Amino acid sequence: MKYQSQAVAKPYFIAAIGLFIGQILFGLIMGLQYLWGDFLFPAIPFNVARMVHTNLLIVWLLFGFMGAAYYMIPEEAERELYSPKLAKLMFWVFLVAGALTVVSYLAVPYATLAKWSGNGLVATMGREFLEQPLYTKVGIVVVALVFLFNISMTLLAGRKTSISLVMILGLWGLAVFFLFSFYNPNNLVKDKYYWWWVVHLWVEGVWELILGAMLAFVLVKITGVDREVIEKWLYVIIAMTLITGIIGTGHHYFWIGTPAYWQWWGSIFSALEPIPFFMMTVFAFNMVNRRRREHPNKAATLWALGTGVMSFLGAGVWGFLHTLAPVNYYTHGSQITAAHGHMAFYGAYVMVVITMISYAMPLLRGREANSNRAQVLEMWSFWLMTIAMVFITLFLTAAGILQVWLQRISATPMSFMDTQDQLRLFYWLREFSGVIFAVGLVLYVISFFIKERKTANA
Amino acid sequence: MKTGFYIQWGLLTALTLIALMAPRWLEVEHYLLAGLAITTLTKGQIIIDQFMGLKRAPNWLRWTVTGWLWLVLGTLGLCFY
Amino acid sequence: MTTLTLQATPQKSIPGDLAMWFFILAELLVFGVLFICYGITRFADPALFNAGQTHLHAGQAAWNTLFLITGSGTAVLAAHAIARLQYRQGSIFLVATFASGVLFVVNKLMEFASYLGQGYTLSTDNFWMFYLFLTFFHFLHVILGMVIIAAVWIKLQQGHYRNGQTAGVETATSYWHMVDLVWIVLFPLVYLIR
Ligand code: HEM
Ligand code: HEM
Ligand SMILES: [Fe+2]
Repeated sequence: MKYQSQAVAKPYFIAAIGLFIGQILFGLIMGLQYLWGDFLFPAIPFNVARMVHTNLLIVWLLFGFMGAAYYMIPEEAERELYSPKLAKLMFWVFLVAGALTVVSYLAVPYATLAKWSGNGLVATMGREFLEQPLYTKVGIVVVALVFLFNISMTLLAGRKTSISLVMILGLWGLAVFFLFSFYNPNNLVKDKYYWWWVVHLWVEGVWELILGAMLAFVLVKITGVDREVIEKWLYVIIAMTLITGIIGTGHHYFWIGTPAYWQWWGSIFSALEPIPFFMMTVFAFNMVNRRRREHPNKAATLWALGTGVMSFLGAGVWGFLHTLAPVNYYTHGSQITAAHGHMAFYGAYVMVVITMISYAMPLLRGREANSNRAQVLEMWSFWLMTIAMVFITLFLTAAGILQVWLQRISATPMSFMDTQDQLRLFYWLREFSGVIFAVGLVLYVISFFIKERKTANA
Repeated sequence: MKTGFYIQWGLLTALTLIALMAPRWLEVEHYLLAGLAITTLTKGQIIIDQFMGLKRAPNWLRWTVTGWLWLVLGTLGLCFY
Repeated sequence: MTTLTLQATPQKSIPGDLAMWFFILAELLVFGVLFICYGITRFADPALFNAGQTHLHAGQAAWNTLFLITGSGTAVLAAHAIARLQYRQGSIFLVATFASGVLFVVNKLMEFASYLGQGYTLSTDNFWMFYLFLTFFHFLHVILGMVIIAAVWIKLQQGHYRNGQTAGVETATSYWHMVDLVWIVLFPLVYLIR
């Protein structure tokens, strides 16, 4: 750690991991509800558990991104953070707002919550990923603006590097596109149309800039490869992301009542979206192979390489699988979508946040890398979580293929619920893999508390 | 460099005008296809080799861009044949 | 793609920045895929495409080809002049390239206005969907090319590129040539071939 104020990243990272645990817990609950529909009913209905699972995911990733920015920007700008106080204050505001939101999801029926929170005045609720009540949405905007102000001021006064510029561009984009969550036209087609401006243009647009910048930052640090080289890669990846990803939004406009030409532009442009993900993989391996130093933090290197591979698999390969309109005609909204959603979110954003935590956390705790024992445990957790996620994806893909076959292709199509009964085996296997994932996560948390043996060298 | 350059530039202009007139001159569709393929290929090659200067660039780059031109025109030629 | 590294500095030199060339290759890929999709769709329904094509203003588009070619020519001259430390000349040629872009844009906007005025939209049929989208997508690239040329011109005024440091200029002109190259294929494809 080069600057005192980088320390504000620490609570952000801790909160991220805490909420991650919550997310996985609700994933496991839902996995069981898939098998026994009334499990925990009426205390936690499926729709509520789903909301908690996905919203916790988004919120902890946002904590991770903010923590990463607070860590990266001072170091890149070569000066202290504009206002560490503000950063600490916003941490508590965001944490409390997030916790209150989850509690209100669990404690109050959603419709009641909507009524209380003024959804009748400005209707924004009830849409996947954007279920938050109005006050939470406004809170997110306020926190995001204060955060952006803080890091932008830091950057303006300091050294401007490509990495920090890309990072800040991505973060501003994140905030700007979130504003579309307030736009909720009555026309259902238009509602969905703009909903994707948040969801798709986040994960396949501006978040990719954040992903690229975070990965580049860690790679600069652990490989010692020339910044110039890494920055050129970053630019090319970003350019390619934007060319393909923006019009690629069209792969969500095939069947929702939008004009038919989207079947062409959505298919063509999104079919090219795997390219930047592939470049990211090559980039990560290339940099590590040309490393100029042996960084003692092996775990962080592993996470960085894992991000490269898994984001390409989850987003690139599993995205491509169902992105051409003639294929998506059959697979739309099936378990194949869920398979892709899981591996893409895990491989790209979960893993890059953990990469950053893995690199930065030891430094925030006053050492260059964790003890060997702690790192070995962390690497175990890497393999457990990653392999478990691969299996979750494979089982859901299998379930999805069977589902599409029985329900949509077969000469005597089955009803939705009858089809679900045929998929139970895969849902069991998914739940089992989920437990392994949870074990991996527990090991990950434990790795933070492993003390060095007295004789071990730092 | 100078004379060569003006010849290339003149050629690009002339080929553009020839291509514009081609549909009137060449009634038979296959002749038109051949005519447009040749003018377009020549123009593209001038841009690539001379204007972009890839003649003096490493081979992988030169042949990637040239290959793009040939591949695209070739495939289109098949589509219109 | 093989394991090309962005650092490669082989015996022969790359015009401008290698990163720009990766960008250019990616753009070429996107356009290439689009063109081939056009070709395949047209193959499936030649009558529709031939009918649609008769409504296009090929003469106006030929002017646009000349504008882009001219701009490419002055871009070459600009890079050449700056390499020989003739900054005033270089500056004038860059302005000429930018101006040819302006002519293209104005001409193209008039063309678009005419079609839209006649009621053609992306939803009219497959021909208009492709025509409007492809040319508009290319149109955006011309504008980006102009922005890049303008940026180089400003840097030139600020005294960058001293001592014949032309890499920055070549990076910009390479992009412009790519926009030109794509149009050279697009022009006969949508306006002329039947
Ligand atoms: C890290 C990047 C990505 C993430 C996090 C991600 C995540 C998701 C999620 C969560 C969904 C489900 C949305 C919903 O309906 O609720 C989804 C849908 C989809 N994604 Fe991705 N994705 C990523 C990249 C990609 C890429 C690169 C492609 C294409 C190559 C792609 C293609 C698709 C398609 C076609 C759908 C719609 C599936 C359907 O019709 O049901 N995704 N994505
Ligand atoms: C880091 C790990 C995880 C990530 C990133 C993640 C992400 C997601 C996402 C993005 C969705 C929405 C999918 C969509 O709209 O298609 C989702 C839904 C879901 N997740 Fe997870 N999840 C994770 C772990 C788990 C685990 C371990 C389980 C349980 C074993 C699980 C079970 C579920 C279930 C049952 C759904 C609901 C699917 C539906 O609506 O039918 N998730 N998760
Ligand atoms: Fe998408």
